[in-house]
Amino acid sequence: MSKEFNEALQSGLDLIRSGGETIDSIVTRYPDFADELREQLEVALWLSSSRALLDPSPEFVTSSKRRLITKIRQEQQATAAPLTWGQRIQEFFTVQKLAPVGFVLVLMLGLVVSGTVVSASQKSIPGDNLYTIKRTLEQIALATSIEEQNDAELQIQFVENRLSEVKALIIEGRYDEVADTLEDTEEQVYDTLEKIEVVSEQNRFLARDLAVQLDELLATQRTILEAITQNSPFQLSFQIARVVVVSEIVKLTAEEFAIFVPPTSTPPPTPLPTRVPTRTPRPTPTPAPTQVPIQPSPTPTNKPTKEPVEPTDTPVPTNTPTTVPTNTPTPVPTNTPTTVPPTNTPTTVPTNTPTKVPTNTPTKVPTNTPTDIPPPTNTPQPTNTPNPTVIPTNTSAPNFTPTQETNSSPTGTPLP
Amino acid sequence: MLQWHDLEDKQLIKLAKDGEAEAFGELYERHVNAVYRFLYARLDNSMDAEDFTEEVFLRAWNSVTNYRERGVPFLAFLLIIARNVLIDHYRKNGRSPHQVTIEDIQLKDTNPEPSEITNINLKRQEIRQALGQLRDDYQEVLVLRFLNDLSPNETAQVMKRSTGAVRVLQHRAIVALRKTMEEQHEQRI
Repeated sequence: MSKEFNEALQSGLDLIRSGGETIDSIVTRYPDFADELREQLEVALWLSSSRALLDPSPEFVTSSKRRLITKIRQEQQATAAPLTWGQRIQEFFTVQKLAPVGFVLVLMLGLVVSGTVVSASQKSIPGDNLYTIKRTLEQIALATSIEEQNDAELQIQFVENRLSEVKALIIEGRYDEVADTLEDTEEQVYDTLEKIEVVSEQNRFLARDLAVQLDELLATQRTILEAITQNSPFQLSFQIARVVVVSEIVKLTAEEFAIFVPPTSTPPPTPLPTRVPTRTPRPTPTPAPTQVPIQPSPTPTNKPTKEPVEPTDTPVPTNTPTTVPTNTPTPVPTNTPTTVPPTNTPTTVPTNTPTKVPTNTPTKVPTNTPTDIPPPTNTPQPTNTPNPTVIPTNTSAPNFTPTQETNSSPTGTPLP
Repeated sequence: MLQWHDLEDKQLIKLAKDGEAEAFGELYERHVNAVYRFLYARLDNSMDAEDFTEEVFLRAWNSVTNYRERGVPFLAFLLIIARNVLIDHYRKNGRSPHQVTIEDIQLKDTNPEPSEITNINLKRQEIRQALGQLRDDYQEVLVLRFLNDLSPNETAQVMKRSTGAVRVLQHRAIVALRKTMEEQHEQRI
């Protein structure tokens, strides 16, 4: 069947229907397919003329139209009925097909609201509406923390929070809540100590740092608490005393760690040297330190022979050469000068001074290593490094340099 | 005063989309015959044709918001729905060949004379029997093209085929219908 034939059929039908032509007149125009065209035209016209036979009755059309409009209006009334909020929201998202946009909007709104609530809750103190959220968030943070070290750090943060809350409550004169918060503080400190014990089973150096950190925090607050005791109601003094006691326990713990986990002997050797040179070319002045070991080496070996315990620390001399180069840029300088004096007192001084000295400076160094270290731009003083080199003659001197160095180094060691 | 029948399909559709039931009623009145013919020519009885016609328009009302002209006339849109309604019907009840029911012989119009009524009913019976002997797609193309007067392109849209395929199908369907009618005529003799 050609295209020409189809066009002839279509135009033929149109002309015949319009009344201007007949089948015969059309067929004569297309002699090539006259017979076939005639047959097709006859059937098509017969069907077209039969169209009315298949029409619906006028009654049906009228009644059906009425029924249709009635149904449509019923549906409209049903949908126009007051909807619940849930239905409205559902309809909005389904009918408007804005589900994805709506989802994003709801999510953003949720984030904004929750973010606002969370940030506001951080400033709340006991008795505030948002305080429950603050404590819940703390519990969530603990629950979601994976490593014991992180748990301990969080616990220390919570101790700080409790102490801040105590101060805020006292300022506002809400002494009823102060007692409860002090009790919470005490519990929080014990929890932290337990966690530090757990950490110490995995990493003693890290545990020592955490203990020192906690001790520092409590040491600064202790004096404030003692001052508060004098001005606050009598019933609070008992709770405050308990917090002071627990802070003393923390202090002892930190000192124990400082004694039993002091030397930098084991941790630094391999990792630190590798790091320093890669990071800063300056450490290359290691030649200077290399001179140091030469001098100290003879003296330390002499003193260990005096004390039986310290010989275990004999590696110290070996360490001083290694560790000094690594830390020479930042920490060593600050520490070494301070530690120099104790070198005169071999045993007793070390225990006292190490704790005090580190509490002031070293803890800041590890926690804020990036920012705080630079300040020791006092390093110019350390440039007196020659002094320390002389000091090593006393075994205690190494004890300090290591402890402070290890404050930074142990945290570094796990990383490699 | 502006009447509904003064408006074009396009304007009525816009009003219907806005929820104007009367505008949709006007559309119904304009196209109900074509929809009914399409259904009746392919169903066993007029009762089903009437029920399905109403269903087609209800479905059309519910989906009129989705209707975009884009070259598909509203009648083609309605006939596509009618075709789907038929397909659903066949799936549920199975396809059975046309049977001439008593309604084809009964009176539908009280005005004509009894002799005319008989003549009309015979003709209707003849055409329905003839179409009923054909394949579904032949019936469909013939109804769309010559009973509903759709263009080859519109027919192609309803049948979801190419225009060329519709032309070929139409040609074969006419040949098949003619043959069937001749056979029927011979049987009568």
